[in-house]
Amino acid sequence: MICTGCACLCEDIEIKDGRVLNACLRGSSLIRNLNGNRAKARVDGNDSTVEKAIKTASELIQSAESPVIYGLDTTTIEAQSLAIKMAEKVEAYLDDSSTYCMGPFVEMILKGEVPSTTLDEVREKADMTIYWGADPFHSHPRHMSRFTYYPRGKFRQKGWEEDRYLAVIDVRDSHTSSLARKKVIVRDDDDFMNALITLLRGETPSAYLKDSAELVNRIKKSEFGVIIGGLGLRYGLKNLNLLRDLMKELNQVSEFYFIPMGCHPNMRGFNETLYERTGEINRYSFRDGRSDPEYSFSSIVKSGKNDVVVVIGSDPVSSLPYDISSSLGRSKLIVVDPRETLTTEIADVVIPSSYSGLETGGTMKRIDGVEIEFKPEKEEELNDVYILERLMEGV
Amino acid sequence: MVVVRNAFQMERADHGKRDEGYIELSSSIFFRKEDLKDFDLSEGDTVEISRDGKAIRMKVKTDDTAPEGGAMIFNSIYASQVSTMDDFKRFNAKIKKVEGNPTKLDEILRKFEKK
Repeated sequence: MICTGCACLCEDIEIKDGRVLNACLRGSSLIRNLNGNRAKARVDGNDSTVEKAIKTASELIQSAESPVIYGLDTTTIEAQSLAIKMAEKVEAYLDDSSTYCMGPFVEMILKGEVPSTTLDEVREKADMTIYWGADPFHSHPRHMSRFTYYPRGKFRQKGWEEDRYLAVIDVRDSHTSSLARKKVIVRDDDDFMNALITLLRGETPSAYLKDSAELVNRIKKSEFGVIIGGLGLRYGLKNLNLLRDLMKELNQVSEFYFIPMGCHPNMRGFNETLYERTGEINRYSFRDGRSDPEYSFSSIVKSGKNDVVVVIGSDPVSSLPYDISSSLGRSKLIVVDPRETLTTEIADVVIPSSYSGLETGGTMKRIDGVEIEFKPEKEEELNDVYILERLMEGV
Repeated sequence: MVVVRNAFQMERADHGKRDEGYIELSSSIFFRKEDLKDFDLSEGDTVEISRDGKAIRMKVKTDDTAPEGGAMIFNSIYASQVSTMDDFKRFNAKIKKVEGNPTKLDEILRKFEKK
């Protein structure tokens, strides 16, 4: 079984005698609670049949002048492709959570602006891992044990005890930083990144001299390093050009890669699928044929340009700032989700689906871009692909 | 104020976002024990976190992974009441001790009711 609890997509999960083996706290919780809190079909707050919910949603989408489709990071590439087709057909705005998450980093990788590698390569070769603005202990609990720090790699047989060096850069102490050989508490990510770049260029930085010098000395001794950038870096780093410059300088003294630390199981799949179709990774307007910050889900919903919102496998009422989510009630809201969420509570139409990957097959892309195929033992018929096909028929 | 992910809170989310354990963790604000005195707070106090006309009440707890001189909250609808798109993960807010309990989830959701 493959876990979809986070973007690690752990492939070694087993269920024996009702016990979930090998999974982390997050994964085992997801799998153990699969049957609880399931979404029920509703139309205008009243219980409904799935058929009626799909029909109502289809009619709303068909009559919409300015629909928005959002979410899709927990579903399969097959469903994402259908959603993109539907967005094209009804000239919708299309966005996913990468706009607020790892989008800028994934875009830089897809455009070849920063070098990236796979987590499997990291496991076999990395002797230096830097988590920057990330706390995998909580967000991706098996990231360190499967890929970066604890495994015996092909070229790192002595593992974390001798062969691997872990550094953590963050605004606070974290459970991950307590495991690191080197931790740096930063107030300003740009300043610290600048300090590293300056030192790597052989000059003296004006801030963070001690910490940056210690880290650069260790970097120069490494053969294969990786920076894993999390949401802390995404929101802390104001000037993305610094990351390009840092990766360039790091590769003058060692072999260094960047991997984003996305949480959603198939955010990377959405980015790549849309990129293949349009050359853009998110916040796309099929009416205008281009991507723009003003087409992000938050901008569109806040501006009130939309008359119908379709949310697939996401809970924006919980996860997005109230400034944005409070505008969701202005238009018709359709939610497709396997479970009840705070967004299904305020939706006009709720269409229950199955858990992609766990209850229905298909493909997803791990956060490093590796494609993972899901073949669950039991295949639920009511899944995102079926629902999107039905919605497509209507429009 | 920093907004972080927490595995124990996310584990409770799998029981539903109305799960008591999930709500308790989501409506908690964490300080380092040594910082509580500077903020004139004690564990168990209720505080109001406010900025730009938005406010939310949370319960004070201690955790040694909170930022020095600041506070930590978990990613949830509670954090979303005071965060903005530009400073999703890290922002300045006013914190003051108040009477009563943390804001109830239904109190937040009432704001979403269609008029």
